Amino acid sequence: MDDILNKIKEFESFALSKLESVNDKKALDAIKIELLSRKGRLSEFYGMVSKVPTEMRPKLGAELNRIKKVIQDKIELTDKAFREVFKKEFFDYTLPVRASFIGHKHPLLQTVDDIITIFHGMGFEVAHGPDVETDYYNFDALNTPEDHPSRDLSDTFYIKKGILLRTHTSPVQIRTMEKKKPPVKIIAPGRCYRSDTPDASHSPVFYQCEGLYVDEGVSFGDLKGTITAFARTMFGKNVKVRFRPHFFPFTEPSVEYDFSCIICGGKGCRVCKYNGWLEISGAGMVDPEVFKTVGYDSEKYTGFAFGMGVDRITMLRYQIDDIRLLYENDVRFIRQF
Amino acid sequence: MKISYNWLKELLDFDASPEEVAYLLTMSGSEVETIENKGFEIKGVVTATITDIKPHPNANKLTICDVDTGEGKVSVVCGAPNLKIGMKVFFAGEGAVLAGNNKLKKATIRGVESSGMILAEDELGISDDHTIVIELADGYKPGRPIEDILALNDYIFELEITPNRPDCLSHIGIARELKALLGGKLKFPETSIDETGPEVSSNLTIEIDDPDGCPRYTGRLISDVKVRPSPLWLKLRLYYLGLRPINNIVDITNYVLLETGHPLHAFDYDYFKTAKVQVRRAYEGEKFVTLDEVERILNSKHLLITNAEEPVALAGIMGGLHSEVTESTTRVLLESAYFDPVTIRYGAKTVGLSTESSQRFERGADPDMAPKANNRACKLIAELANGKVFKGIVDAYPKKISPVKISFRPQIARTVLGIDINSNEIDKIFKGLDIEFEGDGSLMDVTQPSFRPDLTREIDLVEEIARIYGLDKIPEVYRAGGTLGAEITPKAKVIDRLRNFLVGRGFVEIFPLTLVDGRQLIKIDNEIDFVKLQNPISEEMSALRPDLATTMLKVLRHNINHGNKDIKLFEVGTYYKPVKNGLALEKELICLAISGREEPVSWRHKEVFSDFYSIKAEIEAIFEYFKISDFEIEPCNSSHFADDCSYMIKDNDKIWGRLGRISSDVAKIVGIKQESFLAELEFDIFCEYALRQSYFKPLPRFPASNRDIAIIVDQSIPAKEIISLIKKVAGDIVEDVFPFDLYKGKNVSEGMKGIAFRIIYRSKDHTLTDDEVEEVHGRISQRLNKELGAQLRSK
Repeated sequence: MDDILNKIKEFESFALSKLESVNDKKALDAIKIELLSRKGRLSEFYGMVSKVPTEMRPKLGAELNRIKKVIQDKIELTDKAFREVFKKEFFDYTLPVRASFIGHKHPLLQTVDDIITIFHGMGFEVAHGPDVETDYYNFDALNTPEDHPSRDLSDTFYIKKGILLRTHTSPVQIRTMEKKKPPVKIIAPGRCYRSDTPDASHSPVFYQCEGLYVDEGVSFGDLKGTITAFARTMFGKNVKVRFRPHFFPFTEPSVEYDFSCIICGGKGCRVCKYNGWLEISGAGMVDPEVFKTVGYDSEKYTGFAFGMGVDRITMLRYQIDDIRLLYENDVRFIRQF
Repeated sequence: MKISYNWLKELLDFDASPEEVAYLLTMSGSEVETIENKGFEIKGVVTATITDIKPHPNANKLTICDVDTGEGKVSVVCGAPNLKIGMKVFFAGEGAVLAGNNKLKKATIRGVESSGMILAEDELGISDDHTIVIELADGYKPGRPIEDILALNDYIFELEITPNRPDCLSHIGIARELKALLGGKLKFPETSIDETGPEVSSNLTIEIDDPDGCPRYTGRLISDVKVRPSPLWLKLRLYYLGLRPINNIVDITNYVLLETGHPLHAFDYDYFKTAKVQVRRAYEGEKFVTLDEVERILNSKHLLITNAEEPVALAGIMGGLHSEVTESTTRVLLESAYFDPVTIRYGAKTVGLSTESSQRFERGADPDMAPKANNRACKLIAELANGKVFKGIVDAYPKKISPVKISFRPQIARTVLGIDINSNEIDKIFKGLDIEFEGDGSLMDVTQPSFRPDLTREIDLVEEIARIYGLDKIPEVYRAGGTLGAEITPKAKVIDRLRNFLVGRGFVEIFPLTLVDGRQLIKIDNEIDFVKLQNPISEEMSALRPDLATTMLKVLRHNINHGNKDIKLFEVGTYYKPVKNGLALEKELICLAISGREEPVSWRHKEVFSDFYSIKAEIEAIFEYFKISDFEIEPCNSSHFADDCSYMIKDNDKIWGRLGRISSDVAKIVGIKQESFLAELEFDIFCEYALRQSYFKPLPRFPASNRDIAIIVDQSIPAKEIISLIKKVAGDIVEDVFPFDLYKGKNVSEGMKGIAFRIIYRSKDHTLTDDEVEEVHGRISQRLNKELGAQLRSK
């Protein structure tokens, strides 16, 4: 019995010294087989258990189990060390991973999102209207004369008599006011259509955002404040806004508004054609005729309306020089934003 | 509209520089787009006398002129046909600068040295005429600089005039705007005429058959007219303002047009045999040749000026070819009328002519200006064409245009504009704009000026106050108003979440034009119903998209053709369907498309090309994220998709989405050269599901026990069936079942497939024991074997 125990001890130190001297993964695997496999050295010892007297068997078994555990732990430790070394040698923190595609939102819709966020903060709700409109909402209700050139087939797409593709988002003003009593405070982003042949600055389908605020005591000063606050939030605190008198059938007084050039800060550059100002869009106080059409009392209520070309704002903020890029949807373009 | 700075200065005294004028006009509504400096480049031009003319030795058409320049004699080679000895001319010597910044150098022309040039009008920018050199009147001594004789230097403003302001299409109109802004007094040009001819009334009758179309018509006669080129100053003024000088009579009518804004027409009165002007509507199909030599076919809505026998002008638009003033004309009938804007707009549009005259009449001319403009032109004709002006004017005014009376409450201006303007300031603004009024303080009676068709209502006057007061002086108001809690619709929130989710999954958002090729729609599906445009600009953009696939495929094609081959695209957008009585059905779809590699090429993973499972995985991901579980995917027929890879998404009987592989036919029609996969979901239904409120569920309190089961079954048995059987057998202790391995080949006989599932067991109320799990797991094996013929693979 002692003899066996001595042999086991010998085997233990043999195994440990062998594992100590091993220096690669392959050799380690070979030793593992030699020592622990079904036909390995340790199995031989286990085979002896049945040959010793019964009362000795537990002690021998326990000893073998202890050694097995010691060897297994040593192998595990050595293996882990080898793996660490392997990982360390291969590790390269500069290795680009490129694991997955990166998604992007379309720049025009990013601008729409920003516009909505800014106006929402000022208490405007988003309203929608259909792209396919009646001439009543698109023209008549907006005080556009019967023979106004914008109604021509050369300017407006028609579906059939009296039905057309809206040429601006202003019909949403009428649709909203018909449904709701003041206060009305909305913006209406959406596609618009005009019979323009596509080129660098024209697209037959384009994107506008309308704004409308009607309540008691709304003045031109409110319009100025609202547009100015928008400009500053969108383009930075230093942007200045300029209002020039203009003409639209559905506002009176009517204005066009400009932002000081967001590229050069108003000093003059190619983008602002060296005059320091960027023409943005039109606005004005809602014409009493429009109020009459929707049944609002123009003695009681006043309001302002404004439009803005979202394509134009997008092109300005990213310095895009061709509107067609926005609608072509080349992923190399969209991924830039 | 072009406006001359010099001319404005003749009409109003002011000190403002051209830049200041441009700013003031822009900020008051007449936008100055450009300021052009005219004539400033011209230097070193003087008067001179031709003292001798000799033939050129080497050229028949050239001569050698000796010219006295005031500083000595020089010789000049010249080819003009109108050279005479003793003629006074403009001369430019070496170093002089001519129009177009053309600097003069000594030149040798066909072997003869020429020390300068005798100038034609084009070389000075007076007109485009180069046929003859300028002949000055006798009496000019040689050596006088051109600036003494002709005001060459001017600033020309290009203005954008809005359609409501016909009065601003004239120098008087713009001068009046400046008067309102700067103060001062308008100097209306001289109209007193020395009437040396006979009584006009016995030589001209005017008969207006249609007072609606022509409320007012004035006529004057001038005899003994000498038709010839206009003087240089007149040519220069017209040419700077974009008009070509023709002859003195035509030039004068144009000059008065630019000055007063009132269109005039000069007829050769010899063409009026009955001494009568008749204004009438055209007959249906009546033919008339306008002076651009085009025969116009008219209808009964067109208004004509006739000589009582035949038409002489398309009223307010263009004169006739035969009655125009020519060099042989001696008697002139000068027309100055007021025509109905609607009639002129209709006429101009239908014959396809837009003239200086029609543009003004259709916007609304000034009825009171008709006789004044006529007088003004007559005065100039008397002066510049030696005409004898007949006594008096025939003024037919059958339909008096009365000004609108407006009750104006100054308080309205204060409310609408948000300014504290006092009555004096309002009075001053109205006076500046020549708006007459009575009363003040709380109520004013305002009379519409005859030259302002746009001012008919109280609010129109508010705009006048705003313009002249200065929009920049109105204080900005920063305040919140409206209602608290501006709503964001649930739909908008879902769209936002969905777009963010898809971008996070690597999709690129597209935003295409909604106009598509109607022919292609029919080619793909000849029963398709779509909204068609009546007047498209091209077949490629002749329809509104009836789905999102159409535009998505177009974008795919573009990208694949441009080398962007590995892509994932999405759009949440509107599609359009025709409806019988109404506008169109406009609803939203979610559209996804995948093509090329599933992931970017990388050492990190194996290269995998997208297949049906790629698009299905995305749909699953969306549904998982938005907690949508009640849907089925079933085969279906669908345009765009290949027969063997076309599936619909449904919930009970409601079909609300589709996914599949683009068929090779469609790929060919669209031009896509790469296998592509697409899915569309009805947004409204998706939104309904996505908006179902989800509530917190307690986290499991007891551990799960995972077991795998690997089986070999007939290839035709769908995973769905196996999973539902497993769930049925396991009952409420199965938390999840999912396939994790799929194999064929070795150890799997033909017609069979190997599939392995992981089953997550968990109980709500205790820790499952091994025995419990083993028992259920065992029953699952048995039932799979019994019901689906599945063989258990050894572990």
